[in-house]
Amino acid sequence: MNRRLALSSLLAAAAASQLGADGCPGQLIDDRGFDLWCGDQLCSWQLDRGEIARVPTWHRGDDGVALLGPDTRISQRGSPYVLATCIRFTTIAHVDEAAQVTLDLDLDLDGVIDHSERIPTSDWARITFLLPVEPSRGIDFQLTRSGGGEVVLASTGAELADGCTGTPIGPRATVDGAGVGP
Amino acid sequence: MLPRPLLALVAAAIAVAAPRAARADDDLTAYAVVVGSNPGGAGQAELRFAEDDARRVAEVLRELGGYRPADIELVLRPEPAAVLAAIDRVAARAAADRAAGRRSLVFFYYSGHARATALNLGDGELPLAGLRERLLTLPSTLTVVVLDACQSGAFSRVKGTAPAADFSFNSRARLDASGIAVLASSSASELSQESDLLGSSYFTHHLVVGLRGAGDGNHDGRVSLDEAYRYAYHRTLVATAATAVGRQHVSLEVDLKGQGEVALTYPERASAHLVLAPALAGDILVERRPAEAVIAEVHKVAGAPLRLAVAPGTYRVMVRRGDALVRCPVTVGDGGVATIDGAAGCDRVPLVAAAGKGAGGPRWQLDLAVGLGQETDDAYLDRLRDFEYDGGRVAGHLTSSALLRVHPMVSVGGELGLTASSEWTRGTDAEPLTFAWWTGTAGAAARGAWNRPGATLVPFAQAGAGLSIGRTRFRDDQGTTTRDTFLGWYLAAAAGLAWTPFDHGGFSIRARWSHVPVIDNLLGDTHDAGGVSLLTGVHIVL
Repeated sequence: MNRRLALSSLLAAAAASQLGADGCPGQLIDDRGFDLWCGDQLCSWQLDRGEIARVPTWHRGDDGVALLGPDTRISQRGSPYVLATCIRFTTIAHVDEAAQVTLDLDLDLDGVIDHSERIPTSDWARITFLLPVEPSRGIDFQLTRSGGGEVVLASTGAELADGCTGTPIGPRATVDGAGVGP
Repeated sequence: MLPRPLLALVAAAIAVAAPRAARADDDLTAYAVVVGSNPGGAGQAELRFAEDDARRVAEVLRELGGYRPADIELVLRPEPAAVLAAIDRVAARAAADRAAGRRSLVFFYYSGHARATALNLGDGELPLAGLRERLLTLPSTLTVVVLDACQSGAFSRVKGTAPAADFSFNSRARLDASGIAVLASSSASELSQESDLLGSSYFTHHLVVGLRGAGDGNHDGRVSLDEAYRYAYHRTLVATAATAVGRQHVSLEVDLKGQGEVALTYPERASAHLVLAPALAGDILVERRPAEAVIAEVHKVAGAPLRLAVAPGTYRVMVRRGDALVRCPVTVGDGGVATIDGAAGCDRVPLVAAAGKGAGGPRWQLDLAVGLGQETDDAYLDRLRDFEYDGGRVAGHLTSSALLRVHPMVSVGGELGLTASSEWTRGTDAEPLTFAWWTGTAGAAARGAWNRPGATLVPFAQAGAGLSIGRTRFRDDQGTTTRDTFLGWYLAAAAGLAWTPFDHGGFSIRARWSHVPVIDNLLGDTHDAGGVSLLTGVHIVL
């Protein structure tokens, strides 16, 4: 606990002027629209395993990312120093019934998944998780798919928010404040 | 030209006229039974103006005929027994006058449906024989019977069934008696008609106008039965000459036997007058404002004034001569006289407005309008918002139409429309994505317009349907533009006002709704690119 309080104090000044990862106030990850592609790979997201593809969404000019194969994961580290107590994670998801997609959070970037949320079967619906978190050195956002069927994600972002309830998510902590909402 | 038999009858009546005309309000007590009935019997459509005509007749008798209100039995939409009861009440009063040594005049007016043997009063019938007996046995000194019996037609409603069944002809023959005159709306071989433009039957309208002073041929300040007949005869004949039903000859048969000239009204005693100046000439329409009721429609030639007795109030006088149409607003107070010369206080108005209900007016209407509207908030826009696009719901609209008048109130033709959306954008880490669309429509359109004589402000409603095309433009963060084309259909409806202060047009304003489901996205959503809009523009008549 003392360690966390010290970390909070250390980060307080930085947090006061925090702009987020892409220069937009409160945004924690880049390229939320999966717009930036470096060849056949996303520029801002890391392909940890499996295979992805650039696919059209509502319009043939507005792309999303398809997570292909039975086991594919992409990830992106959020701001390295985040004084966040509440994060809103949103995504537009097309998830077939046969597929399973999870959002995993690695707080403090220690390689340990501290929290997971399942992204439900969806036909291009907006899915939102409101996540209470403790201040950390950073957050690694991981999107993992398994199983069969089609999975396409679009307009995926994480931003500072208000209104979280429940026990904050800390390293290896359990959480009961997350949920799915509009 | 009057038919010879009628000329002879009128001449006979004039020949026996006493030196001193009967007056309705001194030595001659006047009573009236005025009956109006719109409903028809079996096979007869309901009339529109018969009851209004009865009210007008009662009004002119009260205002100008010297009839006390209590002496006028106005019977509207009656059962047969109610008509007979009204006659009986008047008969009782006339009998009392006779017993007291006073002379009396009974004026009986009927407007409604009739067949050869009876008046049709809705589902009831008043046998002609019974009516005849009642009128023949009236104890009055004089009896004037005015019959405007009718059946309905199409554009101009037809009065009377077949010519052979004309009530007026048959009844005249049976009502021939001493001290009685019968003025009928048509001859035996003709049908009688109503006029949408006049809001009256042709006959009763011109009879009333004549009684208000237009019929005062000798300018003695009163309108006699003969003068009223002559005026109604000519004007009704002229007015019906161009109708689909055909000419209508008013007929008069008199047997007054020394009763003298019968004065029906005394326009000189009216509390207000409109005087059409001697030099004024043309077709003249007088409307009472703000009700827009046609008070008089006369054709005047230059040389003599024409004096119309009216109730105090506000009027609009429209004077048309050739292609020129002049509008003169007039207010006349109690005891006042307003003179209209067609110049002072008048302004020229486009002929299109006055001719809007006629057959010879402008036939083409061209409209071009621009405006703003609100996009229909549907699943398509929700999807854009889900994908984090921001944009307004305001759309620009451009519409045009070319319509050909096929009826005084109906025009048909084609219309074109163009709608442009606001630009929707989504920020990226590079350049923003932008998305916009436009739709074009082309289809058939029909417009109904409430044209009134002299009106420059005309309400209208319009509907259209046809084909549509939609074009979208998407620009990505690399500046690459993608365009897609969609085809579909549309429906549209609009209501508005056309204002035509100039000879060949003016302006319009309208509220428009359109349904243009033409733009799709890859996720199965279709956007209604129409919506509600408010437009204004130019309105051209040719």
